[in-house]
Amino acid sequence: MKGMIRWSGLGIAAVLIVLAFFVLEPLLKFVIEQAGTRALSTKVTLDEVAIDWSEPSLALTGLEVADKKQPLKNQVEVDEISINIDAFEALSGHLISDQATLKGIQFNTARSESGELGDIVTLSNVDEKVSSSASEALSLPGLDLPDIDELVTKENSLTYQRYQALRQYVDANKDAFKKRIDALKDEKKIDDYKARFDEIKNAKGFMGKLKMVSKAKKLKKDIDRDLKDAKSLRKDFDATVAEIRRRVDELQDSPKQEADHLLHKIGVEGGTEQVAQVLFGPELKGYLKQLKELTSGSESAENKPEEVVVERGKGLFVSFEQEKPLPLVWFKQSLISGDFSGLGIPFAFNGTASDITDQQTLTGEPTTVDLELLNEKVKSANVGATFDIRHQQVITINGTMKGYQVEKLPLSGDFELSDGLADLVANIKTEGDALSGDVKMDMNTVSLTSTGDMFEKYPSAKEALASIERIDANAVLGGSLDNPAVDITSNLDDVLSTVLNKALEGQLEVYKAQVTEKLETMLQAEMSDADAIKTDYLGMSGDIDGAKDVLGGLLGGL
Amino acid sequence: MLTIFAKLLKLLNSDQNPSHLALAVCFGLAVGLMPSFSLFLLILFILVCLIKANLTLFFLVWGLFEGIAYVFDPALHQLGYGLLTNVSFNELWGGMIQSSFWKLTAFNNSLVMGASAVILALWVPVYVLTIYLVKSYRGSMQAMVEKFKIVQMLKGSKFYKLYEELGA
Repeated sequence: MKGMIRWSGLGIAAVLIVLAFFVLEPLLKFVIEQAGTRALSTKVTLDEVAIDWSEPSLALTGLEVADKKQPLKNQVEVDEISINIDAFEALSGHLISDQATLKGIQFNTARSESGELGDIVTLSNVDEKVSSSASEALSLPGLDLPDIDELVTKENSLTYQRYQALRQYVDANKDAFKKRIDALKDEKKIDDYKARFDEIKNAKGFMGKLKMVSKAKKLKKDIDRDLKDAKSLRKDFDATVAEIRRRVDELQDSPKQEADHLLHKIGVEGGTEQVAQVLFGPELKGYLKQLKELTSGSESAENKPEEVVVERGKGLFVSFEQEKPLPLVWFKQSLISGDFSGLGIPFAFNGTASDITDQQTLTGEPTTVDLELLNEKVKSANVGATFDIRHQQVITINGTMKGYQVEKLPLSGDFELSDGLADLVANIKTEGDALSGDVKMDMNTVSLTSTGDMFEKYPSAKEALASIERIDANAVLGGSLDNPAVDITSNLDDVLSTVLNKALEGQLEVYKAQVTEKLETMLQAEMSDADAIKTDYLGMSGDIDGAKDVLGGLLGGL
Repeated sequence: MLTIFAKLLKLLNSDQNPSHLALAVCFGLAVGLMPSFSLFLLILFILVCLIKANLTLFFLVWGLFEGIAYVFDPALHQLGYGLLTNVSFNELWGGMIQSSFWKLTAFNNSLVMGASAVILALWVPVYVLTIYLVKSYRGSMQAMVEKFKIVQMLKGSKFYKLYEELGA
């Protein structure tokens, strides 16, 4: 055995071990990149890993986590991470530390090279910028009313349809009544009645008169039946005439009713209600959709790789159940700083976080974040958030902002918030995809203007808009992150609604009169015809009464 | 190629202890097969330094087995994966994963496990076979081999002489 040892090699082995310390940093870089890529199923890269043996601690610089959906973008980029951790512990691929500092956290940054993994082809999604504001422009009645000739057509006219229905009704009943009246006024029948009456009247002698009693009874019965028919005809006729009168009257008012209906259809009613909803709703929905994008990243962290392609020379790591399974990353307490601008939120941030991890199921703790938001236009802003993805994803965000100086903020519907000093309080919660919460805004020294020509026609509305100095708005959130429901109430609603409604009233009256007139002109012939129908019908009434009188006279003689 | 052959010939003809040559072959095989990210590799390097294994032969065999490892990579992965997922060993691997040392060896990697199994299986046979072959060569084949024209050509070349002069 003694002959087997190369004593001179002892020095070389020592040099090798020392050298190993020098390769430890690149080795750690490799281990962390590999472990991160495996755990997150997306490319994780580092610029450099530096070991501080005195602390001991690790400094990771230039961490980039590629976006799975857009390989040329980073989901998250962190300039520098300092972790209090032994380098040998980190070699196991687990970055677990009581204290960590993360500086320069940024979102959605560009990558120099694609972050695609293996052969998986992921088409980069086109940026879906929230464009709901464009689709929900403020529509004010009277400002953009449709052409009357386009609005009013004979084919679509309710009045014309009513006229046609009346015509059909009249035609159907008229024939039936004529037949019934003709049957009642049948001259042959009346002459027969008269002949039978004369025979009874002229009977002579006791026996002759006695014979006529039964004939008289039969005649009376026949006349009674006809009178009953005449009464029934009168009753039916009166009911029909009443219906015709009702329909003709309805037809007379129809153009006005139809004008109202048409105006309602084009949104004249309630057009100025919930102005704040239209002005701020799309913007708020846009921010909520960004929250969805942000949270979908945390969901993916919990996902396991679906399919692993074994690369030559790299093999496959098999997982075994550990007594104390550890997450890949667990920073129990962290100081964090960075910038939200990549998410379209114009704020830098500074604060603390606890239990930052890729697997909350292993740490058993939700991730909490306490941030101070920094922007030169904001006096102070704080946000506290809890991300709990242990079971169902629950995210709670509570934020306050004071003295947010808003300048030239474009709103929906050709409006612009030229100036304003806002205080905001937001409480938002998501459970799974369900959204709830509220956002309260109190804005002072407001200057609200319209960038379009909407208010040029309405000086009073423009003045009202200019006179608004304070906006109180309360948004109640509901629905889901994919389809958020935002119900905003604001003092703007009352102010603008009153002024605009007043301003629009005159124009709407004129428009309504124009629509009515157009309908009346268009259906002039039908309206006159309706009157003639009524007169014509009333003429039939005399025929019924005449037949009744004749029958009544015969019956009186009996 | 000629350099390698000359080196090998020189080693076999030298009075080097056959066991040192056999160890060099075994270590070369192990380092060649073992993936670079395992702590086993560092341990093997340290052992090569401490144990009297012929370094020239070690480097030669290492190079050879790097190529073999590349060719047989899928087979090594399959073997390792089979061992790691075999229910009979589940308890053993489950116990080892609790230790940081074993984690650093990346034993739970299919390639590391496959290579380790092949190394362990081949170590003793290769060691014994190498000693046997070296001894056989020196005992009976050396004189015969030296009579081969190619060997004589090689030994007569300026290159070989220069090689011997430099004591490589």
